[in-house]
Amino acid sequence: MARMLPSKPKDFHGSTGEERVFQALRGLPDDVVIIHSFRWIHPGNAQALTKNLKAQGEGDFVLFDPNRGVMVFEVKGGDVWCEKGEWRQRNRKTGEVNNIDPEAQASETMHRIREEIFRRVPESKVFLFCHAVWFPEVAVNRTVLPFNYHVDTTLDADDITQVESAIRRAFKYWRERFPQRRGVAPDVAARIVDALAPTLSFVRSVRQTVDEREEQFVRLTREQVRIIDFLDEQPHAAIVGAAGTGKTLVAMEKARRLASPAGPVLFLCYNRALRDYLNANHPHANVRYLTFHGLAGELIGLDGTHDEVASALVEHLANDGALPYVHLVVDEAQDFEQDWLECLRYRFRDSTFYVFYDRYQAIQGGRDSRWLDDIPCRLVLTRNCRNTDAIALVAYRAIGIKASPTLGLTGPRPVLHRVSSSTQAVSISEHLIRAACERYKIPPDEIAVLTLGVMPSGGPWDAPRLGAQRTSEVPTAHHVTVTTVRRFKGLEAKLVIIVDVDFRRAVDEEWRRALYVACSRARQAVHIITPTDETALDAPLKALAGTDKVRPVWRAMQRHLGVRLGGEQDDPFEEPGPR
Amino acid sequence: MIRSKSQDLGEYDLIRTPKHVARVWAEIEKSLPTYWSHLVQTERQHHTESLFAEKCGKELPAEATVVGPVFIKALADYEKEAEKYRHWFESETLAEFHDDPNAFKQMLSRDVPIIANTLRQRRDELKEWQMHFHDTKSKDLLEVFSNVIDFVDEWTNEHPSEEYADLDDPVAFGLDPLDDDKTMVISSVIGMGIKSIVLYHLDPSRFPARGQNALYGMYFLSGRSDFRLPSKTSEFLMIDDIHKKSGCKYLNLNICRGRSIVIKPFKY
Repeated sequence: MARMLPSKPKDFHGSTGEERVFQALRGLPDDVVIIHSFRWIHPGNAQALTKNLKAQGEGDFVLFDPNRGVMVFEVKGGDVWCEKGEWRQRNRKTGEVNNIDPEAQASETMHRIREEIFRRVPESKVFLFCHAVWFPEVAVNRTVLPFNYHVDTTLDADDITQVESAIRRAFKYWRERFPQRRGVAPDVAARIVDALAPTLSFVRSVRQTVDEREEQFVRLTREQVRIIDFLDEQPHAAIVGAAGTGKTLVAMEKARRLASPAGPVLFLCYNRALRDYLNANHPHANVRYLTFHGLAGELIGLDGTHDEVASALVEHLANDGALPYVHLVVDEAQDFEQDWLECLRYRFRDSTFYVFYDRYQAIQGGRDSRWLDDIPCRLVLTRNCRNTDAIALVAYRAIGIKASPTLGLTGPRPVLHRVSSSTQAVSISEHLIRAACERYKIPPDEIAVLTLGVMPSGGPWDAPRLGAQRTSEVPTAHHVTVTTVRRFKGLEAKLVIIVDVDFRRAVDEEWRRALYVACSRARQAVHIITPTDETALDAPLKALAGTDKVRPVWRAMQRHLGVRLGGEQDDPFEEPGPR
Repeated sequence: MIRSKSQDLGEYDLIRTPKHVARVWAEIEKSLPTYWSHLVQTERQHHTESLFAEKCGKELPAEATVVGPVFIKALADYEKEAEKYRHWFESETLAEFHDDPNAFKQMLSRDVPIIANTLRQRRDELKEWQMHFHDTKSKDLLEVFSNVIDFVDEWTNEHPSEEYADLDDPVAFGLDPLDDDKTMVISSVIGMGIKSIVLYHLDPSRFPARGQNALYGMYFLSGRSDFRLPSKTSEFLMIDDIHKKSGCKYLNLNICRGRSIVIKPFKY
């Protein structure tokens, strides 16, 4: 039985003639391939083919016989007749009569196929390409056919029952016209069939996926909108949420809605990098972004040590000193001293006081954020909308909390790279940065290289360039940010590379919180580079796993953190496929 | 094989010596044909064609025809059971329980035949095990089974199937950690019995079940011999103590499903 493509056509365009021919052709030998309803479009150049070639067309049947050649059939069912050299067909349903020229149609499709096959399979030039017409529902008077029709290439209803001899007859006619043409070897035959009926799959490019994920991130979740609206009725509130739940986004939106010339908003954040980012990217005439020490400088001047300035500001606030703001929004409140927040709350007692915080991000030692839990109105943001699910999972596991729901964005699992030297760590980072910028066109300022500890000057990371990209300690346009996780708090990047992750310190809860913060800065991909030796994993893994039954091996670390173990040439945004 | 509880006799080391292994194997090779022909004879008694041929004095059907169905049924039974183990003891499935270890313990109690069946038993000798199992932290159970599966994955990669048949020394197998590593054992709860049943259902070609039937099988196939072990017991059955009244020895079987059965004493 011939191979029919498709094996079961959805319909035959309402043509019973085509259906009859389809069933008849099915009886041809196994090595014959029949393609029903072969559609084509103009190749776009007029050199290889006649300029009169239509923009598009269709062959009713394309028959491929490896021993004989390719034959294109145009099938005309129903009432067909030729009147003074012109072919006509009556539509049985509508009664409408149309002019047709089946031979020209078949010929055109044949030429289109032949040129294309010649181009794709050059060895096929010896192969016979020909055409025929078939009137399966009428008996053709073969004695008076027009000049462009031949008795052997014009098939009719009688040929339906003797299909093999009819096809042989039609091929014989053309073979006699082109005696130099012959069959082709099996491998060439297979390539011709592949060209006629190709197999291909369309896989979304990773870059496209990366871009689509970004679009998802910028949409406010319903939960965020609800909280913003709810705050209209709540002048004092604490908004709690894990990293990535959109606290800063909600804080900014709330500040923007509150701001007016008569009611300027003070937006306090802990670190300068976040302040600078907000000033640069979300400027607003009536919203002032400041750090606590920036506020001290603005209100009382910056004379003295850090602590002296802070205590002077607290005193200033407690004594009802001048304060040119009506509303207060505090982001990253878990990093503020309790005294500062209590003073601020007191000063904004009759207006607006919103604090946004996440106790798990408290990585400034000695801060006690328990009092925040006592604020009467506490709202919770639960849905992670910054990170992909895989990143959120690793971040939450680092501090042993259950993953909160996310936007359901899939992405590559964070990767754990084990290195034996800082040179190797730098090399991996450079590879990742280069691949992200070149392959995925990620802007350098969307890449952050973070360390959980300090970034010593003169160290391997203190370089003007990484992976051919300029670096900067503070987020700067067209620069890769290379800084500490503390300085990068509140900020985010598409790709985060966390370097010098010494897992021996995982027994320390504050260190694990720092890892949580670092991972949660990444929107799309995280790469963790560790110099820790496997022999030192026993205590850290016990601390992470919460059981002494854990095997001190990297595989267990991989399982407990939800990462995968990487190699030096890993793609920054894509997991290697199954081997 | 089971370790004798009489550690002081040094039997554990003795049974691992190549000389001892060779003697046990020689005994098994010797007795295997006997048991095989016994199996064939037993099956012939239930095999209609064999009975008919015998009556008519015709040639008896081939052994394969008689014994084949027994193997086919055994394979079908195995496959049915193994499907459950394969489903649950797979790295990715285990990883899904990470955030909810209690669900893992529930799954073990409900869906893993070796554990579920043992928990369902109302026998006194199992009460202690059942109590220990209930007391075990879910997190520990998940971790131990994850460790076992991780270890076996690594071991399988390092020991390709084609090399397995060449291993002829207990150390060369490299499977000691399964017995000895404390991260793959929960004392009195998850020992080699349960682990071997789980692994047998994951990879029967390389991990034999060390359950009741298998150990009995080895006991009989090895001619019930003690092979001159100091305790004068079979290494496949542990003799714990001597029956106080009769002076007979008990056979205390460390067997499948965590059971410890004392069978009737017999004169050794």
